[in-house]
Amino acid sequence: MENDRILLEVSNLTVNYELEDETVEAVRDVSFYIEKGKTLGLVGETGAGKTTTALSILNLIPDPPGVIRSGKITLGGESILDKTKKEMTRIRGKEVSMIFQDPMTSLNPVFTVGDQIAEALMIHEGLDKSAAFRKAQEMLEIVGIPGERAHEYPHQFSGGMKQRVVIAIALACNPQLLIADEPTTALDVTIQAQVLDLMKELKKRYGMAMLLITHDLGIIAETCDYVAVMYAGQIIERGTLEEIFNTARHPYTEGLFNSLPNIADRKERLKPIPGLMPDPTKLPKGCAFAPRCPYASPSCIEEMPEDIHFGGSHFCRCSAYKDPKFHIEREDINE
Amino acid sequence: MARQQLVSRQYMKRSRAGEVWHRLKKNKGAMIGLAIIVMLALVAIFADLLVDYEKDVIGMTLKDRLQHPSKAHIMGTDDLGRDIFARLLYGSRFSLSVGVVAVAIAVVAGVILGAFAGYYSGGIVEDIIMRFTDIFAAVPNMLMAIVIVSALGANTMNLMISVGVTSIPQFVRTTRAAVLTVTGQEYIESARAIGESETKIIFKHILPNCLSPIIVRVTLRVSSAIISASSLSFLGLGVPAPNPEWGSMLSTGRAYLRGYSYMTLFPGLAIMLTVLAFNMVGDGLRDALDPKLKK
Repeated sequence: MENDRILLEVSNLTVNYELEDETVEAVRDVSFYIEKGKTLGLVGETGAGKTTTALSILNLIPDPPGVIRSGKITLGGESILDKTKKEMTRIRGKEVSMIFQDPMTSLNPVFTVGDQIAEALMIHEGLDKSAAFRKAQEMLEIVGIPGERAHEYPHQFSGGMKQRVVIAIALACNPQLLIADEPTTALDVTIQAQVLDLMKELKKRYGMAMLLITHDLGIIAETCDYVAVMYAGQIIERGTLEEIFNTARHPYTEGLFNSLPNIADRKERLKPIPGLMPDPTKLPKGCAFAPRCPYASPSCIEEMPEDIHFGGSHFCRCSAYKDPKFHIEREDINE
Repeated sequence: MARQQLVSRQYMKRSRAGEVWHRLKKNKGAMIGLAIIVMLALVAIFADLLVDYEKDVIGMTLKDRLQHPSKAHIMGTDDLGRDIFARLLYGSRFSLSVGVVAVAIAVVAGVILGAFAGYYSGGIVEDIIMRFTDIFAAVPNMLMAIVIVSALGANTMNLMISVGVTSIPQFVRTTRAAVLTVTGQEYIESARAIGESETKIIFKHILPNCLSPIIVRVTLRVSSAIISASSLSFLGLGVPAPNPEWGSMLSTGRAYLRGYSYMTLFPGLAIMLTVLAFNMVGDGLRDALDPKLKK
């Protein structure tokens, strides 16, 4: 892996939300990288720290109470966290764009959609108002909305179209990296498919890299090159799409796959992972998943597990693999 | 959700302001109030054409003093023989301009302070602004206005300033509350994510979304500013003597209240009517700007 292929590198990132009487450890020692033009999927359940990780890439953690305690984020070789406020505003929207979860609320109700797309162009490309608006109309056409609708307000669009507008805003300045935070969660399934296809197509067209945050493994399977699984603020497993989907190693990843409905046997019951995520203000000393893990040994609760590498980019953070004979029992893999 | 879409389809062709106007039109009280305000404003602007300042407004004709309403003087004359109706017409200038300018002062200062307090909530900026606002609001409005006018000297400009300053805390609080809710919205986060600067986020993205409560507050506050201005003039701290400010007309009429009540009746009615008009428009606007409040 040559170094200049890497666009974004996050290493040992730790983010806390420090409140008066307690500290939420939202992101704990997270490291990952994204190569140019590739898509990394970040999966995990609600509260696993996915969004916090994404926001720290833009240095947009709400502060207070959010604090980046340690870690390094480099984008194209430059350290993000050392940038001044002003330099940061030049990166946001230009180098890195972000799509938020709910298109219903991520457009400003008092401006026309054309103005909102033009805004980014005026900030970063130095276009004047009319040129920016014309470009905005082109962007709308690209995402499949007639250009004349640029004069309309967000409330005149449906949910799927709003998300297209949001995508148009994010892509207006050709960013190198697009962060999509659950871009399709608020949409229904048919619209989801359309929006995902659109994003895939645009990604290919502009050759940008993408960090896709979701809790939907189906979306991951369709769009990602790499997958990172987050649990309680840590990346507990990472690998290529094939590695994760075919040879998942971490018991939590296994649990995620087992809790998907089985299409071949519709009468079969779902097998959810027992228990709940630990309280992020009182994380256990050892492996955060240990209390729910069917393979846990007493030492799991005491000791923080280390990353165990399986060759290539695949690693998993689970102490059980210290025993070379250990393997999880995933049922449907070899059938 | 579904309802919201229905509504938006129904209003497809209208802009946001058009929608508000459409809803406001249905409110009879607000339209009456608006008509009164427009009329008052026209009278105030064209007062010079309607009455002769030198002759009718400040010119004394002592032989005509304290006349009852008649054809020549439809509201009677005052203790110096001046036509009360002419003085009322001319007086609308002072009352309206004091109300509008005072509120303008309060809006500019209050909205800017409130916006910063709301945007930087939880920080030292908010603490400083809000504590000062609290201190200001803790002093009774009238007392504060009296202190300011007596310190600066009684004239029309100082009257406006004093009434304006005492109205600032309300605008700070209204704006801060509105900014707090809007700042939490996702579209503000999106604005940050496209690299918008903080001042632009506050003034371009947040404030336009906070306009509704501020507009309502403005109309309601204009009416109380008119009352405050009249009260100060009544106390002799407002518009100086020969000028026909409604409050000071009330004040001079007070001496003749028992034998000749017209001198207090008509200025009092004028104040009441104006205040009522602004309040009705304010109430109507509140309903029109927030369709959720209706029914």
